[in-house]
Amino acid sequence: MTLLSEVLRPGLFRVLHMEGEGTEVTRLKRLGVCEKQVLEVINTGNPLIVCVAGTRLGISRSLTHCISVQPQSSEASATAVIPAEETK
Amino acid sequence: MRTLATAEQNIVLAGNPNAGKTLLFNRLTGLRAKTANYPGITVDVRRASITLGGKSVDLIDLPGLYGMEALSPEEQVAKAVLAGEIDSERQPSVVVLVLDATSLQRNLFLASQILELNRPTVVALNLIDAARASGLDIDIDLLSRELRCPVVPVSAKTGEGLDQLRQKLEEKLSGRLEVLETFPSCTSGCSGCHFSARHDWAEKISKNTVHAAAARGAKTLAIDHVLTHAVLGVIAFFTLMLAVFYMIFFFASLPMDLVDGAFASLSGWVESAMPAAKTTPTVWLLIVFLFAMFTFVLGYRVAGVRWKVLSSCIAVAVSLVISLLPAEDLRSLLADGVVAGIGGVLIFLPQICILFFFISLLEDSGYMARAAFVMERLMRRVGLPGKAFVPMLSAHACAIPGIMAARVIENWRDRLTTILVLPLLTCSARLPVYAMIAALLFSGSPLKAALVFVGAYTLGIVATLFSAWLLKKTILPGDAVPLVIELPAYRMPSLRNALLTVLDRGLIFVRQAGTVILVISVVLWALASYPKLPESRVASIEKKTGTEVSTDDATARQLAQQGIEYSIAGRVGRLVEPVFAPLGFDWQINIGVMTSFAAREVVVSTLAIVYGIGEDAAEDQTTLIETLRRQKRPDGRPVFTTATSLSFLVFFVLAMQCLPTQAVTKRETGSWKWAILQFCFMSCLAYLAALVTYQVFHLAGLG
Repeated sequence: MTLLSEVLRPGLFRVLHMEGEGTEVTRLKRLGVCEKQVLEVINTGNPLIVCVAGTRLGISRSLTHCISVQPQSSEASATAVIPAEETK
Repeated sequence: MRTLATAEQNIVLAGNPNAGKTLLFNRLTGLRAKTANYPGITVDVRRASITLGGKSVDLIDLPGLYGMEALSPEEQVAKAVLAGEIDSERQPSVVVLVLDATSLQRNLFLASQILELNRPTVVALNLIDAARASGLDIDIDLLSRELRCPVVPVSAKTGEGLDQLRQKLEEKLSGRLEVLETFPSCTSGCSGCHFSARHDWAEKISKNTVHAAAARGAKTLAIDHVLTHAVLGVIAFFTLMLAVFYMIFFFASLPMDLVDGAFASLSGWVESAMPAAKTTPTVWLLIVFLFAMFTFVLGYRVAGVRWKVLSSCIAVAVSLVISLLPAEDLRSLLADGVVAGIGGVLIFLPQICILFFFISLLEDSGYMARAAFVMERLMRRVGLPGKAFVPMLSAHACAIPGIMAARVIENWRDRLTTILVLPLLTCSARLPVYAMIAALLFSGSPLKAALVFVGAYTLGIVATLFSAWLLKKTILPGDAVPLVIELPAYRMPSLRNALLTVLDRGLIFVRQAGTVILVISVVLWALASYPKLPESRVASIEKKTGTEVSTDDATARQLAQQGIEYSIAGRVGRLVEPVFAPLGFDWQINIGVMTSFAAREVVVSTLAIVYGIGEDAAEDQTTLIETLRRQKRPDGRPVFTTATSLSFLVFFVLAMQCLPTQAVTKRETGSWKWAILQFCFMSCLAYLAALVTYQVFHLAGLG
């Protein structure tokens, strides 16, 4: 497990946990950066660019301190979606 | 304030920002849209009446939203309308859910929330042409079954599918469509993250219905490598903005001259067409009274003012006063107050229209999101979000569209900070003042004169960034909200949409000019015109020069000079002399400061009047500059020394001398409190900076 802010190379990551409940966290969550979702880090600058839910997002690095992620292989990402039944 | 309720049934368009909702609205309504505000909220909502199946229905274009959590004022309005919270008796009859076919998965998150409202819904799957072009194949029937409502593939850009959409809406409104079962919540029974459950649902639907060709988005990725690059992106940004501003000034030049010429001709026509005396006073009084009342009827209608007791009394009383004015005063009111006042503001309309045209094209193309992205790092250092650069750029043409463009900033505190500091940036109205000072100080050296301009622009930018930092450290504490921005795929912008945006924004500006600015112009005209010079003093001047006013320009100029000295503005100029003396201003400059509160460029013509060369001569810069250079103080020292000129320049760079901007600040912030704070802050800043400038240069022996 690592923080998204510490990611130095592009790649696939699954979001494990998000700290906080503020407006900005909500903004991230509804755009697809939320627990159990897989995101692709495209650019590790500041802001960094991720691709999630079929959309590219620019996110300030300061916000990524609250996002814990786990590296994923490409194969894993293909089956990354957890069926709705499992979330119940 | 307008309300949204006019027709019995209403259709609301809802969707993510960038889903092409407004373009679809424009397609469905043509040019019939009106922009309205909900009471107490400064969020524009466009609406229009359209005919569907022989019935008139309201079509409402809601602000874009990403979810029903309502994180910005715009989203709060959209959510309130969708949920029927604004007016419980005016629930949406049909919701048109506009989804972006090129980014269906992300759009389905909002869809899951709106469908759960269980309102009659039709999905408009917009940008279907762009989706096909990028290799996406969407199973419409399956999507319709999954969403449990009709799905119509459309392209607002080309008009594809609009007839089918109208037909579905007609059927929904007449209740002929099959009633589908209630949409089940995709989070029901979910104990974990509700957001995750919705995204999982969206991904599942997207995977089932969308079949994508490989290597999609490679072009966007390649362009983004340059445009979002830490160095190349900033260079590209400034190059593009330079090109945009060059085109604004290049293309606006001719129409601005035309507007200027048209208002000058109108002013001249008013002066020549108005009778010199009231031949039949009763008829005169009646005609002028009716004309003034007609103006109020028109103004109240445009401004949305209701005919209550107070507003009616004001209209009747003012109309009566105007009808009782002497013929000469009425002529001056129309020519110098109304026509010149409105013309002085409408001259900037071409720049504003061209600016919004380019902003609309850049937004449509997807570039604006990249620009906000690359500017984020620079702007955050002073406590502003990256998105603040659009209003800041706009403010270099005119602060009014800049303040209007601040709506792109979702966070209210960041938006407010941006609005409050924007008028510090150099707008076009300051340029005549800069030109005057540059000519005063360095008429023989174009390079040094250019440095005056560069210095003034730089001072404006530095003052803006400093003020933003100061506001964030004091009354609006907190860092700028970190950037979270969608980087949409690049698209070919719509010319039609850009032109409709220009029309919409231009009309808002003209409406402002026709109401608030008209009132301000008339009030300032009165302050600079009354009380009139006593007859004895007029006779004395005529006796001294040996001619009558009507036959000699010199006498007329002298009378104008003494007239403005004698007026309320002139008296205030003398009254505040001790206040402005430490800045190096004499009482005549003070009159310029007083009269330029409506529009700062007025100071040039005012100085021309108070120094006795006449308003018309203000356009002849050589005459004006030579006259200003000759002015002496009572002790024989020149008035416009280097110290005074620079102090004057600094004051005009920083002072809030634009009441129309104040009116727009009030409109966008919803309170006069912020407009007053803006005025006080900028005035104090201008005073202090001018004071330091004058005193430093004076001590250095240049004053």
